[in-house]
Amino acid sequence: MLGLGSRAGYGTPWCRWAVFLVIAGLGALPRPGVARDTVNVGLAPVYLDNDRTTLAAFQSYLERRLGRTVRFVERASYDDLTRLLRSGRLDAAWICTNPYLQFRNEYTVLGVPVYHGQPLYRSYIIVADTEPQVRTLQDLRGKVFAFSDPDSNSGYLVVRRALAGLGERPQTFFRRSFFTNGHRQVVYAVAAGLAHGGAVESYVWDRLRSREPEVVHHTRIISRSRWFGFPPIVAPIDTDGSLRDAFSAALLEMEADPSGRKVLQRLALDRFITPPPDLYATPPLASTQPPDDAPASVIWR
Amino acid sequence: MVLPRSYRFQVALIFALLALCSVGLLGAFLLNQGYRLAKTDRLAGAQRSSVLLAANIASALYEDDLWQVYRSIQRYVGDSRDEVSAVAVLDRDHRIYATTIGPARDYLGRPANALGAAFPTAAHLSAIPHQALVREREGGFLVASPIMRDGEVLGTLMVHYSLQALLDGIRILIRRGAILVLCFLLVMVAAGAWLGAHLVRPVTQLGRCMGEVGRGNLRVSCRLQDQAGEIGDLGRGFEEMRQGLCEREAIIGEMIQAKRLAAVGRVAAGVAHEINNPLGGMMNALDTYRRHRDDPEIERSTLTLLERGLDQIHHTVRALLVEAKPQDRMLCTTDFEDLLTLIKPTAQAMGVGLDWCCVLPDAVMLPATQIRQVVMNLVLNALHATGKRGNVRFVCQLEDSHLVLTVTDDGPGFSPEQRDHMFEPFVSGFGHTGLGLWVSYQIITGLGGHIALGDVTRGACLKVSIPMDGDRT
Repeated sequence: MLGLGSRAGYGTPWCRWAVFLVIAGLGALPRPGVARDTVNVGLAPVYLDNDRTTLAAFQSYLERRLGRTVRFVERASYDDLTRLLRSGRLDAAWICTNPYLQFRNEYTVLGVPVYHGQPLYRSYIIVADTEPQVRTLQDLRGKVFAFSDPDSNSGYLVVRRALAGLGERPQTFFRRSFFTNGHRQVVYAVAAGLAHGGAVESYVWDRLRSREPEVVHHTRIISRSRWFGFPPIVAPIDTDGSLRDAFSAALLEMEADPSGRKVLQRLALDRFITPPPDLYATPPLASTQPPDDAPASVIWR
Repeated sequence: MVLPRSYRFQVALIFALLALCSVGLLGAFLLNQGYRLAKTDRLAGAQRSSVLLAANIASALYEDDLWQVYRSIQRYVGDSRDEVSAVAVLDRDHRIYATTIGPARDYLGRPANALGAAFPTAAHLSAIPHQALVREREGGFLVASPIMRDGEVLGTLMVHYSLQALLDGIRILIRRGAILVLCFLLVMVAAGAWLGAHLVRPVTQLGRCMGEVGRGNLRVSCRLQDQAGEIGDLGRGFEEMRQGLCEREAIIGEMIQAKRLAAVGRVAAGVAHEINNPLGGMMNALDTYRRHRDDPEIERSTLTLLERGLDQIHHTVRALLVEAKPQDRMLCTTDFEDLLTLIKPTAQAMGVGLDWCCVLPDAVMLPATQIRQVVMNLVLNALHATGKRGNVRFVCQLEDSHLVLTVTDDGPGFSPEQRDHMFEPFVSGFGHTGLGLWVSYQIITGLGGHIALGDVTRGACLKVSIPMDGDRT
């Protein structure tokens, strides 16, 4: 395809080897339109990043169902993952709701998890248990606050929008705010005493509560947002159709498969479903520019 | 300090003390050196790792990634195994960017002096722009390193290292060392006790042998002379002494035997002389009678002569027989008064001053006749020895259940020759018969007592001591 082999000067054995190595090196990275055996699946730094066993079980399940090698690709920020996905280096990715909504036209949803009976999640505002006087977001004025990612709906945008409703910005409302690039890390930062409060995705906090109760024990939820569509597993629209269908089928049939069911149990999810048409229909928070007309009371309850 | 007298314990104790002192000194020296070395090493290590940490967090600080900075310093504290007590990162304005002092949220953005006395103030920090600073503070030391990126100072990393872990380590070392020393001491005490016993054994043996010699057993064998060294010298010295004593004993025995034989000879000669004198007269009388046997006057005078001669011989022999008289009555104070009454006229007649001092209870459990004879003999001997214008003193008293009689005179005393034979019979110079002192000696020794010459500068002193419950013979 590159046509390098037909050019004079590359005919010597040394050059042939060099060309082979270059091609092999380039082949190690997923590239668009190149037929390959490995399926590269991106993972947002939200799920599974500290659970190698579940990751391996999930990988094993997918490989068996797809009949191909599956490689999980993790990145520290949503932005990095979005960039990889949009550049076609990933065949599929489990991304967060906001990055999905930002470029939803470029993706096909392969499956949406059902958590506690519904494909929804929300945002929690948590505070350290040493701050009993903090009861609302307003009480966190002048405090130190931890966000997860600038592109995270539940870990940043929800709070930003709520503060906008109060006529405030995080930079001025809080004495100090920072990003931890992960929902789990928000809980750690609050529990460790680095921040007075933080914004965290409900699914992550719930999971941490059962897996690391000694950490979560030091935090307390003071506020819950309204529900949002659960972060989906998507594929770029230019992904091979058969792979896309197989991947989607693997997700949707997980519940029926014994090993798939085990993975679901490990993830504390009920199953994967095809998203209802209106699941992501109300995306006012998807915008990085929150509308000014949405009062905080609408968002938090 | 009072040491036990036995060498066995002394050696064990000295061993233990020496071991304790040596181990203590050596241990203290090694601990001190070890602590200094470990501290120096830790300071250098702390400085190196602090600079490394500063380099590691530079990018995160540059990107204002508080979480990354916090995680890095938190992990650094966690990995330090209690060596690092606290870490703080200051920004360019010397305000706290992140710290492991909890809760960190309360310190963020505050001036450096909010961190406490262990950390330097902003004024101190301005003096250390480009190199790590080490200062001893608050039970540890502080390393302050600039956080730099592309030559630009982004802030300051301050790490407080605790010396507590080091001290705890030393304490554990001391505890383990003490147990080891205790075991070592026990071994040393046991070794000391064994060595003490081993050293003392020949001395003890020698002491036992000496005791045997003291009790008169010269045949004791110590078997130390075959050993080498000082103990062997001691054993050989002892053996030489023992042999010398044996020889001396043999010589003394021979001398006593010779003296006895000589005394017997002198007694026999005296008896022969005393009997021979009347016998000669009697033989002459019989010879005369044989020639004039018809003369009744001769016959009468011969018989008279024979009777006198036999009587003299009888007296002589009877005087030699000192008889014990068990049925004799008990001695009492009136006996001494009688004696004074009897002796006083003689003393006056001889012109000798007599000093009589007798303090006794009413009755003394000793035979009166024999004691009277002894006193009479001794005092009369003294009167004769003193001569005119001399003085004789007689004292009798009870001392420790002994009747003690002392007769002192200021006469010429005894010559060495007289001293050697003074208690033998028929020795001239002691009474008119030569039997006074001999008879007294027999009575006194028969009553279990003894008579000896006392120490006086002039004249003579005879001291008699008779036990009141002694073995009578």
